[in-house]
Amino acid sequence: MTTNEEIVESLVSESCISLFNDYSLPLKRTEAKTESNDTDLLYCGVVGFTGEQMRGAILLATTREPLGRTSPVNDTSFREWIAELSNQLLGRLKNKLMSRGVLLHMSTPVVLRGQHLTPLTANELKPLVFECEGGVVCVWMDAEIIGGVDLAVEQADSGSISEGEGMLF
Amino acid sequence: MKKILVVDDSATVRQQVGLALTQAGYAVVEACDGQEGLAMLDKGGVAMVICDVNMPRMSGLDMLENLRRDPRHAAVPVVMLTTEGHPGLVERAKKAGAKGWIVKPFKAELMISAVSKLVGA
Repeated sequence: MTTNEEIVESLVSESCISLFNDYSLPLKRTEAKTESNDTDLLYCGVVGFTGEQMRGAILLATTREPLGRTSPVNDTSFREWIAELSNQLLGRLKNKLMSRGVLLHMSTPVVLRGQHLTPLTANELKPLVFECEGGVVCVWMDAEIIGGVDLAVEQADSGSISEGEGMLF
Repeated sequence: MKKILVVDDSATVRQQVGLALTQAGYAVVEACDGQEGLAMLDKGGVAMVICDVNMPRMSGLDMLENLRRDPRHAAVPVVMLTTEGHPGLVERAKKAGAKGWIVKPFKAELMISAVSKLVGA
């Protein structure tokens, strides 16, 4: 039986892959262990979230190349773009969780810049690691799932609008 | 040339939207949050607003509700551009007077179509 944590990991992975794919950068999930001194992670966006069923933060960190390759404008500020990517990543995850009855409220993103970035969490938290052309993308999902919720139960169409879509009223 | 106000705390998104709009023949002004957006509207000449939802200082929905209370700007069409897709939020925006909702990342042709329908070419 798939646990809630495994489901969240799967949804985060799907969200990250589809997000970068929408910006024309295919990602490949890798099981390679990433230690902070193995990968020169330079930029990290952090977005917090809270809700009745789940709360925590998501961290998206990349080397320089994935930011340059995915930015939709020239001369982008990497600080701006990692903030927006983090925001869109959590937004995507939020929409997926909505179909499983979980509602999240998001904060606005904070950006960190440095070398060998890695979060220090209370519990050992391993990143989801993705390889791409020219670099690496890592995601840490530091989430507390409140007892009683069963993420395996997917609801019928939640009526949410999908990424890239829109409507006029 | 019709002037469109783009409100988003991400400079990259403002640039991206601005590029799509200018290529379609619109003039563009920018604001980084709802408060700045209202100040830009007060300068006059804005035909339409494209606005993010989650922003510091003043959210897009708060800006929308403020805008609708001001008779000078109440008729300006507003389309929300956001990562959010929750039907409850969409309904809140609709009741507050928004004219549309687009989920990021946006498709330029969809956005231009929406703008064209609301304010013309």
